[in-house]
Amino acid sequence: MEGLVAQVIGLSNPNDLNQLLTALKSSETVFNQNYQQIVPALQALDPAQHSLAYAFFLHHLAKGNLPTPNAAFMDSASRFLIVCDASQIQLAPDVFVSVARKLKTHVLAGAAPCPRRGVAPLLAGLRALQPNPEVLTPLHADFFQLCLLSRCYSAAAPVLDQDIFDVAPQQTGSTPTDLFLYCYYGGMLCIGEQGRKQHARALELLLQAVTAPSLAGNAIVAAAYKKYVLVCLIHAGALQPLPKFTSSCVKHVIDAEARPYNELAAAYAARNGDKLRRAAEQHGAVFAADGNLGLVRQVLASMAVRSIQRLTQTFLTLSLEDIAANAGLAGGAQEAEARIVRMVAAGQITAKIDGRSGMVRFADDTARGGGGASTSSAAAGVSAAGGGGGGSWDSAASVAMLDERMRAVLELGKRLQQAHEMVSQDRAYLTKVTARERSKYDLGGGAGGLGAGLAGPGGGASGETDFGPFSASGAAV
Amino acid sequence: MDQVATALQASDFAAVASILDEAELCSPSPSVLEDGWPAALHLLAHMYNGSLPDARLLYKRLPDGVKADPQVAAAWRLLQFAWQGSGEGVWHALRSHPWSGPAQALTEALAERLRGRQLDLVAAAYSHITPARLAALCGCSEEDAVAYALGRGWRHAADDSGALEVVASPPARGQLGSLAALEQLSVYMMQLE
Repeated sequence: MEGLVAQVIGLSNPNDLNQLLTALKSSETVFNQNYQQIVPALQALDPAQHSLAYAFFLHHLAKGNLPTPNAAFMDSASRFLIVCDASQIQLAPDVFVSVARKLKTHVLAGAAPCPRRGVAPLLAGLRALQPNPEVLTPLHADFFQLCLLSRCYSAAAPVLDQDIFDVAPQQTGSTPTDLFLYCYYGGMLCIGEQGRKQHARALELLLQAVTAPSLAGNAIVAAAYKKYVLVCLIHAGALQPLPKFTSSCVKHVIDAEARPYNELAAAYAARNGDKLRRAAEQHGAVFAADGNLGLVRQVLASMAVRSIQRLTQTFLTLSLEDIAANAGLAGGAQEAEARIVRMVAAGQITAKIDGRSGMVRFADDTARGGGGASTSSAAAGVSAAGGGGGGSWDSAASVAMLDERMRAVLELGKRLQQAHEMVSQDRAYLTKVTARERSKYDLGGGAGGLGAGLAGPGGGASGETDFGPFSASGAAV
Repeated sequence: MDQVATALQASDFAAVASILDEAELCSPSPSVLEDGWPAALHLLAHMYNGSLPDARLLYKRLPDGVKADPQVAAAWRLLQFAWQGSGEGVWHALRSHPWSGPAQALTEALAERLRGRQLDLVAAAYSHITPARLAALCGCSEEDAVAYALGRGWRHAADDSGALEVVASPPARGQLGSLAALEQLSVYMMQLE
């Protein structure tokens, strides 16, 4: 063991790191035979300077029969994740991820689990592992899970706001499960934040989980779809059909698992309060077992908001009493007034209350980007920002907003173009396409197929196309 | 904690919540929220920033012993009213508790901010409003409410109902005639072609 420590210190020069990595990988037996000496050896190393070796030592320490939770391990692992050197640990992502996950196990273990302790270290570790902020790491999901468990949702906000465009499995060792969990936990965090904008982001993430290419259905997708249905009803007022590229086995899983949710959505679409309540009660046990009872309650409450929103499409002015009667509000005019003020504050409608006569004038919805039920998340974002001012497009703020959106769309278009080019130059993809074409000609089949084949690189032949939904969902703007 | 004191002294109330959040996350102690944690101040600071969900989650994180503290309980009541969007309830909760310590300065600033938010909301949601209703929403006397309204450029309604007419502030119009704006526009057109 002393020899190994000496070797680590000797090879701490950045140029010798690859040699050190080979040495560490081949010294598995040294670690196993000298398990008791790992802790003293850690004292001799500096977590920032010898990050690579430190990760290996911690990894082997945690792999042994360490009782959980172990305070000393948690302390050294937390400190290591916060101060570690990114360039070193990126050489051994699998070992680094295993240390971080062990830390998670330790903070969650025992009689008094304290998930909060893991939040800051995992965030630091996640940042260190990312080659750039647009890449998903295996630690994203673990970090989100700790944020959820410790109820520190706000700590996840900066990570959630960052769009993920790449997965880089060779660099970070991420797996499809990491992506599914990232989307699912991320969606849950957004739902918890409860804001209107966050709901849009939650929908986006959950939809990504549901539409990610997969060859077999899994439980994460089913759970994500259930939440997707409920958030969709709350946010958009109707269940939007899944996009065409949803894989067929996912559809099977959903049909089998999420029937109560689809029934709830059907009752919601019928705009019948009694029917909706009956559907919610009938499947109450299922909703409670899935942990979605709170969301179902929000769905029921959003019914009144929808009724008022529908009134704006028919009437120009209406008295508060009539609104209360139409929307079925028990509290009469007073409740209607309070509700409308709240809806205006949330940017859900544009209306002016006349305090003298109790009349409400529904304003023209020019600032709401097409009005009505906003279908895409982008349209919802626009209405939230524009509705607050109650104005029109005729202001500097809306011009700036439009400008920002245009920039985002152009940027996304460029990315899509890049992905397209990369796929159309991909050797594996081209081989597949030409092979298909050749077989067609052999059979004497259709002419002019090559152009059609090249035009749509959606075959899922390479890594890039697998993440088509990321760009596609944004490009729907 | 020194940072919090500095921020409070400098009347930089918006920074308090993030300082406390950071301190909570960095603390290695499992019982950080128990031993002398300024829970009421933390709750009020989130409300000052308008991030009600964060305040709600913080309350859920607090151990039961801390929740029993009268000041924390008062802040929680205030949060409940704010969550439900009840203008009158917020003022009642804010006034009915004798705030003390660092929370006192914060509640004064919070009241100021809440009044500003209520006036913005009234401007968005009402065309005419009676002084009594405005006073209830802003938590002040009718005379003060009228004074706030007139200060914002609102005027008395033309009829003799005594109501106030909400005058929308003209939208700010930026300068769009610059060369950079034209260039940007041409880039968009190129892209759309």
